[in-house]
Amino acid sequence: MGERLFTAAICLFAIFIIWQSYNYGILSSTITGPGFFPAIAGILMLVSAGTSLVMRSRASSINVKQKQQAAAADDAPKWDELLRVALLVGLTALFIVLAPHVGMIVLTPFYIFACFLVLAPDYTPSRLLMGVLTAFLFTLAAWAIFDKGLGVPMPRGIL
Amino acid sequence: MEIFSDLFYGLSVASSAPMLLATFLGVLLGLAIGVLPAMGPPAALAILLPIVVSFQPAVAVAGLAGVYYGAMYGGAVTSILLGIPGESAAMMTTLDGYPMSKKGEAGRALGIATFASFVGGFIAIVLFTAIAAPFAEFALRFGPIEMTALMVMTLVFSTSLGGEDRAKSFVALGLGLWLGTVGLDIVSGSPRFNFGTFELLEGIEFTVIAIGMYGVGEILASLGETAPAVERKRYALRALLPRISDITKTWKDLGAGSIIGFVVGVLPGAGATAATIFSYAFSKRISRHPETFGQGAPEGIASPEAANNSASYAAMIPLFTLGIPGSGTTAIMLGGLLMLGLQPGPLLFEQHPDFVWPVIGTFYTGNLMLVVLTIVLTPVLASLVFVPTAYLFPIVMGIVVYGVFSVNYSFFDLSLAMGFGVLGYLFRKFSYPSVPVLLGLVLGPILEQNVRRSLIMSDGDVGIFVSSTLSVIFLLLSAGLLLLPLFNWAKVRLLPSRATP
Repeated sequence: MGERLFTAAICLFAIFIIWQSYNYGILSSTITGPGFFPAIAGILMLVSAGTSLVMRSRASSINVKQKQQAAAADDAPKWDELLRVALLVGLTALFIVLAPHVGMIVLTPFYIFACFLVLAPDYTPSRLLMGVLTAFLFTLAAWAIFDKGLGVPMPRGIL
Repeated sequence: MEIFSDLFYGLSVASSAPMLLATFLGVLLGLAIGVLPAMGPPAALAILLPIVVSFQPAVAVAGLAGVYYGAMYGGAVTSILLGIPGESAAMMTTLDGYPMSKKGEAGRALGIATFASFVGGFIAIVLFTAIAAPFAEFALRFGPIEMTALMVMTLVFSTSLGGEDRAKSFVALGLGLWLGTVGLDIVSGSPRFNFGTFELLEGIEFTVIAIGMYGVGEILASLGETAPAVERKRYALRALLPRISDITKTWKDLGAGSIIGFVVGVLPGAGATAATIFSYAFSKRISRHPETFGQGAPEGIASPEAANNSASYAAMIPLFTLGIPGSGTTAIMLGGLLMLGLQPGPLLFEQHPDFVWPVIGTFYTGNLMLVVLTIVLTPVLASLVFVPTAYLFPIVMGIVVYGVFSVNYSFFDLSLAMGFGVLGYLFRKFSYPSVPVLLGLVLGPILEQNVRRSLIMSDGDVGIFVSSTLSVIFLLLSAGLLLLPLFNWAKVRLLPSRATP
């Protein structure tokens, strides 16, 4: 089900690309216009995604066994996994929002440790200690490589 | 004779301290990446790109290439010791490597794999040295028409052969081609798909998409995977040294694997994994005891290991000489070369011999380093599999954050990378291949430029694309591959009707 939704979303996006490309202009005088190439890309996406949708529907409508096989092949993410993905993406989004104000180096150990908490299977004291150690060692390495070594102008924030 | 003097120059530069250090660090990291099942060479290269672009081009590419071919050595270690292929290209090694390991011959199996990797790599580097420069000279004859046809062929071959589901592969290719059009149109100067934002006017940075789709995507996708239970195998360090009897027994397989790997590696889309499958099948066919394959036959390790190393070097020939990548890893390397201010293609050998030959020189030094490092570091590499992802992935996420930010000092890029990470995750979950996205992204703008240049030359006449013999051959091959499923479908539909009266 998830796969079909995703493919359908791609179809809609491809239609948007084709429509926008038409607005940019497919042809200008004798040569191709700015919309020509994106239109080709959009058509390729639409035709291929449409084919994929049709093939998937036909495969799953033949009989129940094949339906079960199709469902098994649909490597749909589980809720627990989705939650961890959302947490990891959310943490990075929070980092992006806060880093210009708080400072990248200051925020990094908290970010790394929070990532560790999301990924760790359990929270024994020794594991937590290792997580803290990993967070601080990485921050130190990042400061040495990116700030001092490569001279990346990072937002200082509160520092 | 010119090749020898160029090679000598390349080797002398490759032996300088910065080049040796870059090669060493590259192959070391490659070995580690080859061992880790959760991360492949494309992800590692993508994450490294922002860091290496500040180095000298030859030093940067020596390191990047080292990661690529180093991963081929590393993949065998876990395949043999734990039965887990660290890389897809090490999959065939598991078939005979793990049974040998279970029989208590882990050291011997590792010794064969290391020696085969060295031989495969060495033969491929020698062929690379001999072929690359004359091939680049021949490719100088290619104009925009031939380049357009060649790029179409590369995209069709890579997309058709690279994924399991053609329709999904072409969706990914379309997405990559579209992403390449985001930003200002080079001919008319009008903005395309920038969604009213200033940041997208110059297009989307290649690194941002590569890191997002591969680096972040792989981490997110592995969150739902559970680590397999594995048992550590014991072996003596002395056993890692190859035996003369094994070498004499497997010399045919070493040679065949190296040649098959080289030929398949040069072709776009086929890749190192396909090379190992072909070479394994070939070795089994020529063997006097094919029944021993799959039960711990030394030939079953030698052949695929020689093939995957040979293929990894061969894949760099079209990249260096034509500027055309045939796989995700070489697409990222092409992105890296462009970021370093180099335009890979026929002129690279003519205009930048000071870059090309030292890089080729590092292939020789890197291959030697890998033999020593694999033997010395095998115990460490095997234990890397047991490092919990809870420690490893936060570090990788940190490198992603700092790496993406350091490209343009932009948090917008970082947001985009995360967006592409989510897309990469969905691609993996729903079995969409990521490689065509990168190929379309890298080759799309060049293809568009060549199409437009050709049409300007012909005053809008599309017949120009079939005005050259080479372009006709390339286009016919592409059309043949595209129409192949249609022929198969027709054959299936027509055959039963013939059979029934």
